[in-house]
Amino acid sequence: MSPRRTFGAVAVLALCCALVVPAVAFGLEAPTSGELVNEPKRFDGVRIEFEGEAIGEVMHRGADAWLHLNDDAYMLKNVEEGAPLGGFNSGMPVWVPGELADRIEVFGDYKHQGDVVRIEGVFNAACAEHGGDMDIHADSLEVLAQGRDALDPIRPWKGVTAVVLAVMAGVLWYADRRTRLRELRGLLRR
Amino acid sequence: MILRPRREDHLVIGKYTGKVIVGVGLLMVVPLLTSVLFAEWDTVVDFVISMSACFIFGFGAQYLCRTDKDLAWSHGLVVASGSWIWATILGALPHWLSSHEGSYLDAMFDVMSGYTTTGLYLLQDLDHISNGLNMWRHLLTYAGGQGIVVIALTFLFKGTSGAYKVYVGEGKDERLLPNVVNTARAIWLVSLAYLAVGTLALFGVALWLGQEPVRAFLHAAWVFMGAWSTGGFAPQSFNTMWYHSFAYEIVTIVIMIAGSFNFALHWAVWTGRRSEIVRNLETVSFAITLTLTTMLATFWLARAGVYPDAMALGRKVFYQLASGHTTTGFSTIFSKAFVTQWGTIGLLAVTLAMGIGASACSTAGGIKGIRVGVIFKSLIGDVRKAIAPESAVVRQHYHHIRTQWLDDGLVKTALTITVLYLVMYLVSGLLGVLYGYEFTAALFEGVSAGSNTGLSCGVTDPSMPAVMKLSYIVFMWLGRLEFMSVFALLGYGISIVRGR
Amino acid sequence: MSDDQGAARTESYPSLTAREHWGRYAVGMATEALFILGLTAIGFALAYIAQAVWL
Repeated sequence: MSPRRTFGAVAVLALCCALVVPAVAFGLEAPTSGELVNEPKRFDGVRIEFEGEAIGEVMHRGADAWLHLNDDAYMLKNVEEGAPLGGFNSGMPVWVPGELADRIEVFGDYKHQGDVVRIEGVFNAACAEHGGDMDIHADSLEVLAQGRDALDPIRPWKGVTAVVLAVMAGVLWYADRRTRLRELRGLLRR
Repeated sequence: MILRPRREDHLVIGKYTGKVIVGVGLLMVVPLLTSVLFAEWDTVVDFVISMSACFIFGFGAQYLCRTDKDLAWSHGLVVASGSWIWATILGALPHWLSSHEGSYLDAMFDVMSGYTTTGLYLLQDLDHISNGLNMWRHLLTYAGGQGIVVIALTFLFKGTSGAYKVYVGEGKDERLLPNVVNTARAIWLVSLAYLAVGTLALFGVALWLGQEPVRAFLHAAWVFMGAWSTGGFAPQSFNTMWYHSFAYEIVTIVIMIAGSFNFALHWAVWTGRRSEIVRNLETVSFAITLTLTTMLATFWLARAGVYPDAMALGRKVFYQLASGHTTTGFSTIFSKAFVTQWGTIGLLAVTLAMGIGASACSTAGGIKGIRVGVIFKSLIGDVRKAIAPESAVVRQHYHHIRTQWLDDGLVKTALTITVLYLVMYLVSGLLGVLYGYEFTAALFEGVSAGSNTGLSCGVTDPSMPAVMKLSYIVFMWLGRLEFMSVFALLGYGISIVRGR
Repeated sequence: MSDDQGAARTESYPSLTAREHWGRYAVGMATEALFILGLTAIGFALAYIAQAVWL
């Protein structure tokens, strides 16, 4: 090949690399909480994106706030509503500017499914600012899905069972009490 | 010749077991009212069912087992260990009815873990459970820590001398006051005083940390119960990491360690003998072994460069070690982080701390500091005897409330129980290996169960084999009752079959 | 039985909770807290020593 052609080939190759490399770099990794806990060193100091259900509450501390996002089997539906059991909860603590945290309206608990939120930020395997906690310092937050009330109706068989057992318990309590009183009266008479 | 128990013996045991189960049913009033307060109607129904089941069993047993005979020693031990089984079966109803448990075995695992103040759990989706169920979980550790029997003693036994025998059967053998019922009351006084002060302190810190008032109060009460009982259940899946706060950590450390002290020690310090806290063999032994295990883990983790500075290192290492050594089980790191960040030496340091445990006659588990102290002193004594002239008489003493002689019988008992714990720990570790878990992780988890600590490195999981779940239930039970009353129960069963 | 009756005369529940004892109890609780904070301080001292050596 002539030097000019070689140069041309290399230039085209370099151009392709220049186009591909930034595309790879701009695509953030999106590990799960399980992956983060299993390989903390790999993600330490790396900018990642993370998605999860906002649970419990937001705790404002000065200008920033703590959130906890769970990316487990109960992210979208909870057990009371019939979600199948899928292991323990799993999630990540997120430290985020207060105004961003205020975008979240519903937090997950017994009566609520929380907002599903996506954040971007730096993961810390042992955060120096927060006493060695494993956390994500986020600088962007987006609510992907609104939270809602979680239903928890009383199942009919439970209601019936409750009444039946309560009555039985009452009867036995009364029987035991009466027999004991009779014994006491018998003793007193003697 | 083994004497077969007579009908009267069965009746006595049945009657008193019934009383204890009625107590468990009454305890469920608290979570029931909590659920009513928060309009958690399905949970309300769960508790009505469960309470009724307890009363049916309890009043039924009392009605059927009518007797005037009082408890003898053998009865006391059998009632103590036997009632724990029934309390576990019936106490698991609320858990199972909530649909958060994979099986009834899982529910019983959680309840035995609660009563024994262990803190391992199999409940799934903890972050979405009701306030009523969370109240039950935490109350279990508080009641279990006090001793189901202490509760019964306080309210239901009405001063029978037989009550003492059941009290001892539960592993508490200190007499704070001459009358055992008043001893129980003194224990309650200390516990309730700490409950008031501790909850208030946690509540105050929580508000300052940004929790809203209702959650702050509930969490404060629950975290207090978990800390004082050295149980280790916490209201969220993130355990005490939820709070991300040095202040919260300090308060829980104080409550955890205070909760791990012998009640006799509390009573001595609270009634004017303040120097007891630095003279007592248990606290001295605890201070030494805590410092040594903390040193091991700290230096190892510093060398491994896991934490960025001394503050992070101190906060993380001391908290986990204090939690492990007091057999509490609170954690400010993820369970799997014990494996992925702390590594082998870190796991072993914590395992050692958990295995030793805290004080006797407290809510804590493990071999117990007093046995470690007694054995160590005995060893020193043996060395001295070996190098002393033949005519010399070497007698040792130790200080525990009073100065007491270190006699051979005492050392023998300490060694026997220690050996039993060590055998149990080893068996639990080997069991995990048998099921494919790595040895240090399996040992960590097994010791955590047997010492009633509750720290997890990830082995405890709903997908754990059923044999391991059942085994851990047995280890938790054996550890909490310190073997003897469980052996008495087995002996009772054997005597029914083989006695004449 | 006599054991219970004798002791009941000397130390009954109301006297345990009597106001005059509260001061002693508070001092007792504070003593325990101080001891525990002392242990905590030792733990942190170890961390600072470790930092000096390794970090």
